[in-house]
Amino acid sequence: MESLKRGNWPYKQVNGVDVPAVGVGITGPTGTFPRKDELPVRVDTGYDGFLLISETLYKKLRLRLSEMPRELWATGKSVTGELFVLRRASLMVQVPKAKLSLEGYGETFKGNVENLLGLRFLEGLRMTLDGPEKMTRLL
Amino acid sequence: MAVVKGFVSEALEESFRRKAMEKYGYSRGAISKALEKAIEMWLELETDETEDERVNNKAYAKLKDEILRDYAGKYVVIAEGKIVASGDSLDDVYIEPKGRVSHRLVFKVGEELPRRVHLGWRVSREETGPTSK
Repeated sequence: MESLKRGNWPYKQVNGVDVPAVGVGITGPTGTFPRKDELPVRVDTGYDGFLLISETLYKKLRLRLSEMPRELWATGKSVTGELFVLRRASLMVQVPKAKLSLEGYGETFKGNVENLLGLRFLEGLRMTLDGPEKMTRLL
Repeated sequence: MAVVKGFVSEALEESFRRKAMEKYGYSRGAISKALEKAIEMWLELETDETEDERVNNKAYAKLKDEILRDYAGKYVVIAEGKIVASGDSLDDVYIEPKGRVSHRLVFKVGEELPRRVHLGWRVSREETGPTSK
């Protein structure tokens, strides 16, 4: 039962569908969001990056104060082939329940409203998705 | 100073000239001032790039070789066109900016990041109007 001690999160409802999520705190150059508790963010293995962040949160965290040079920004491609320029900024993601802090980056694009944890974030973690119980568990 | 040449409709030209004179007076440089402002605003709208951002990215391009040589594996901060901090972790360089800084570059030197990112099925976006990319 070690995994239960380290952290588990119920699936999150998105558009009527239950999806795996992890509770995180995101630290930008001027502070952490949320200040208390944690923000449940969907885990999406279809997204290659570390953390996709909504435009609103990108602004709220003042990530323009920790942005990467433009030549290190990426081009994002949706499954329908649409291309987006992704602004990219250095940040830290905390997983409070697991007492983890990971250095990484957040990216966004014009009009983005989603927050997603992607494959690059998962590289540093062991995690199981418990479908029947609808729980994401960190090992 | 550079010259920009182009064609616009007579109605637009007349209205632009009138507004420029109203704003900057009936002096010789009024049209140039208004044109410069209009181009700046268009660029900001189109590229979302502020002056601070442009200056910092230009500095990065200029200092890139030096940064790669002297700061490999470290985090570097560029603000107002110069290197202002470096450290081994983000914590070391996450210091509150002083004054009216609107943009800084913070990056780990030599870190390989994907340049093409697949966003998956779930990505959705709000309508952002004709300037969307």
